[in-house]
Amino acid sequence: MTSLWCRVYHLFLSLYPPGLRHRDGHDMLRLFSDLVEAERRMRGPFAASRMALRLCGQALPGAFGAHWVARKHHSRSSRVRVERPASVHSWVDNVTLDLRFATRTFRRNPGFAAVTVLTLAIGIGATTAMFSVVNGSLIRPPPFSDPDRLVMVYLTRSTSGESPRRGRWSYREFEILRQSATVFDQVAAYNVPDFNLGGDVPEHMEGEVVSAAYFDVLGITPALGRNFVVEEDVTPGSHPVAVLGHALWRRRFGGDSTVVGSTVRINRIPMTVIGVAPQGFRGLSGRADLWIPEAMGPLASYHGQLTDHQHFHNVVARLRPDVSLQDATAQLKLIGTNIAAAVEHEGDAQWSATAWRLHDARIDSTTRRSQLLLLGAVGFVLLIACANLVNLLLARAESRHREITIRLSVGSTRGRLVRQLITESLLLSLVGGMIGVALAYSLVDALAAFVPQRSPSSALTDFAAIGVDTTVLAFATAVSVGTGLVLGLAPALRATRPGHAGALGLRTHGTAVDRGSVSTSGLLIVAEFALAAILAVGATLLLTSYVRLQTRDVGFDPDNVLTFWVQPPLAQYRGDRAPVLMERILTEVAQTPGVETATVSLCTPLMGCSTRSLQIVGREWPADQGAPIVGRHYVAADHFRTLGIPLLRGRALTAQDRAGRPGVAVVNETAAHTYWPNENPIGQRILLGIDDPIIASDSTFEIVGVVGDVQYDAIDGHYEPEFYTSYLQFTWPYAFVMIKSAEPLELLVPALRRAVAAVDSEIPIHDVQTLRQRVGASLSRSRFNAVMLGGFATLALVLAAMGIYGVMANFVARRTPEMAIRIALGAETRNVLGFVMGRGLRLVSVGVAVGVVGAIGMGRVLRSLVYEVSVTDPRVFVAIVAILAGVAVAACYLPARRATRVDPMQVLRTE
Amino acid sequence: MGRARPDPDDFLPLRPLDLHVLVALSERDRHGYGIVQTVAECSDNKIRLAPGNLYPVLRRLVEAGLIRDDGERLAHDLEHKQRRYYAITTLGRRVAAAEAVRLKNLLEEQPVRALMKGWSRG
Repeated sequence: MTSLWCRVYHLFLSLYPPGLRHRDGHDMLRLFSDLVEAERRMRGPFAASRMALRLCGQALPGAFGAHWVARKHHSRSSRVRVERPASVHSWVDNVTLDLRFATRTFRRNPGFAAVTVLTLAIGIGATTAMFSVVNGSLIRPPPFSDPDRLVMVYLTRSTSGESPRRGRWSYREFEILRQSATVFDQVAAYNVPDFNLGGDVPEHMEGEVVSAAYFDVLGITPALGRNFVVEEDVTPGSHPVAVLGHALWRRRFGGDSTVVGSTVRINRIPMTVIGVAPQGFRGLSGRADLWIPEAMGPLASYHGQLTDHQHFHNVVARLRPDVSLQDATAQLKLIGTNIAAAVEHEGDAQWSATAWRLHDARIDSTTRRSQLLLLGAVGFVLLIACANLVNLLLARAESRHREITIRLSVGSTRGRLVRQLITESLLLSLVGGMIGVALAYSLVDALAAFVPQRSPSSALTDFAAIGVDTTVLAFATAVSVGTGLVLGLAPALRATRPGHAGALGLRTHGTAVDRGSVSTSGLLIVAEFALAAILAVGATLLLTSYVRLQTRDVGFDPDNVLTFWVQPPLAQYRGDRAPVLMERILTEVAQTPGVETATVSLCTPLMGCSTRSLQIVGREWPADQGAPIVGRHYVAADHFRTLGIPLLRGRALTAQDRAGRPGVAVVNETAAHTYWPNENPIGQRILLGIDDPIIASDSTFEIVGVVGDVQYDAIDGHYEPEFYTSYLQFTWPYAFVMIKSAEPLELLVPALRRAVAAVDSEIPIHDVQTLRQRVGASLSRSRFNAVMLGGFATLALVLAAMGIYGVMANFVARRTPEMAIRIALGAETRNVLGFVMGRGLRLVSVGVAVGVVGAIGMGRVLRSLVYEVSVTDPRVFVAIVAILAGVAVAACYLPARRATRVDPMQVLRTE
Repeated sequence: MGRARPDPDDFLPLRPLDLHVLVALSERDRHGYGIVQTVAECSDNKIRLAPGNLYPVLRRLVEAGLIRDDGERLAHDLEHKQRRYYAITTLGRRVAAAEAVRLKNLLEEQPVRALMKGWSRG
């Protein structure tokens, strides 16, 4: 807590003259912390906060005093006096005077000041915190030199009637690009495989296999040693060299600079360390701990690294300074067509190429939309808070009417008074802003941990660095100043209006009702409820969507399932050795005590899977569409039992479906419906993409069974056609192992680790999570949106309720004489009640009506963020209108009841 | 030619805060928190210094040569944290003494004694 206050005090210190601040600022801060800490120890946290507030409050006049002394000192000590023009002098003096006067006013009325400052602190703090999220992930450029010239280059594929899909490159296609593109300074390919670093304890890590130009494209200079050179990236396997990540170097080699030139074993291949990457750099994937050149890929990563037709290379390039993105795109289009002509592709899709700025490519549109939506929402909350404060300040300006009238009549100009009043509101908003920034500092860490991460398998990180930086501080300052002006201007202009302040002393406590201020308050209430209604509708839609997602049937049972990765080096377990290795691992794992069933697969549900194009024997796809792309799974016999997927027809896979036997496949219900709507899929023969299965006769699979649908893609997606084959008939030598067990899952981990090590001691298991945890992670984005918007909407509702309560209380106080007369003339309680509440509810209903229209408009923005919820669901709207009406009735009832208790005699006597 | 020794009387009368700080430092060197505590004790908690008004005073006294900045060291009363210490100079000691004498003489003036009598009775 003390550290939070220290941050606040640190902001106050910035008000002191720079000389004093540089000499003594540090000591002042330490003394502040000593005093607050001592108070906390002696009298508890409450007293410590009071002490901190007192010291912060004292810092303001202290700063003015110090400026005063510094100025005197300066003018005395300078030999040649630089005369400031008289106007500057009087401006400085006036501002000082205004500030002193404002401080004094607030000290006389601390309750008012505290409410205002706190409301602003919450509003500005929440806005600043949310802005720091947006700034960290959308605004701040990726951390490379001249980031505007960095582009991600994509091969695009489009079939008729579909917009082009951005995709990756095969190495051969990349080579054509590298040779023919003239719009780039340099271009580099990379992919992000897993590595095992040998040693006493083998360690699994991710790394990047990169073109020699990779570091130069990004403008990365190594902390030690050198980058790759072109010769190291030409002949496959000729230069076993590696660059280590900074963190890995510190962790495994104790930061020893003699590591350059030494040898490490990466996937069992001895490699020479030629450099250490700079601190904080973890590649475009954001996860890399080491780098090897593409030419080493076939040996140390995947044997088909440079020859495989599959598209798994990402491409990054640096635009030439004189080339615009449009020029580059135009040339890439041409190159894309040439590639399509030179390289054979399956299907009849249209191929092309395009480039996106790295700055844009790293952010997916859903993240952008949801973050901007939340920033807008928190902006609404700030607006509602401001509307409340404007009402408060209007009421206060009314009560200061006499003071202002006197000052005008003794010769103060209107401009001078407006400036005084605006100085007051600016002072409030700046102090509120400072506390808000301190609040944002502590909120930001929590938010950063809560913000949904980009999919962990993405080859391009979002470079999100959420924190308070100068942009955020500038934003907070602008918001504070803006708020101060907005708050001050309307009440100041109104209070000093010539007609308004005309007759000195003639106004008493307000028999005359100022129509202007009433209608302004009314308008503000309308606006508040409109904004609150929009937020409440949005929040309800997102919450409903979140609940739907949480309770949706995803087709499998995530309970009691533990998952982990094993990733042996691809190059050593290629072809038919992969199934052998995986079978040995799976046998060891299945024999571990406590394990009921075990399976392998390349993915778990909800995280996206590999896909292949589908051919059905005896069927031609329409030429303009090409082969459809379907989900592809290489699984064990117990896959469906482990995940609780029901078998609907035919049979499941068995351990006898292995190498050399006829190829068999199981499809899901969606696939059966999509491709065999009126026939029995069982017995049909299919071909899946370009895998090289080890099965008897041709490479076709016969469908032997149909199982239930499972959601493999993002949780808010739809069921897709899925094809399962036995991993014994073809698989890649890496897999998710999933085991079902009734025992506490975490207790099994050591035994599972030993089971895998028994097969190969250099294969670590990693990324161990229960399936439940993975399901939870896939909900993180919609949970984040729902919780944040829900929080903002609640805040908005509370603020709006406070607003209408304040306005109605003020209304009743001012109309007290009128009520008294009505009651004296025989009005009944319910008439008075009806009169007051009618007025309040009229305002609210206009506001809610406007809000409902706004919310329908906002539905467009929300549509892509909700799952199976209609954004114009009338039930949601009715519920929100009911809630807002309830809140408004409650908030109006209290002042209305007070109006009915007016004692006419008493009131009329005092008038 | 040596520099003329400054006359303590040139500094009188001292501002009350300056005197309090000099008195607090007259026993031993102190850090900021120590000064604040001592001044509070000596003034029956009536003077509660804050960083914002202590450091300008310390700066002024250092510039006048009455105290000196003694550098940072570990403060044993503050969990061995690093703190800056201040020490009184010979001149500062003489100025504080001169101010004390001036105040003592003031207290012995007849009108002041009458005032004090009235106070203790009332």
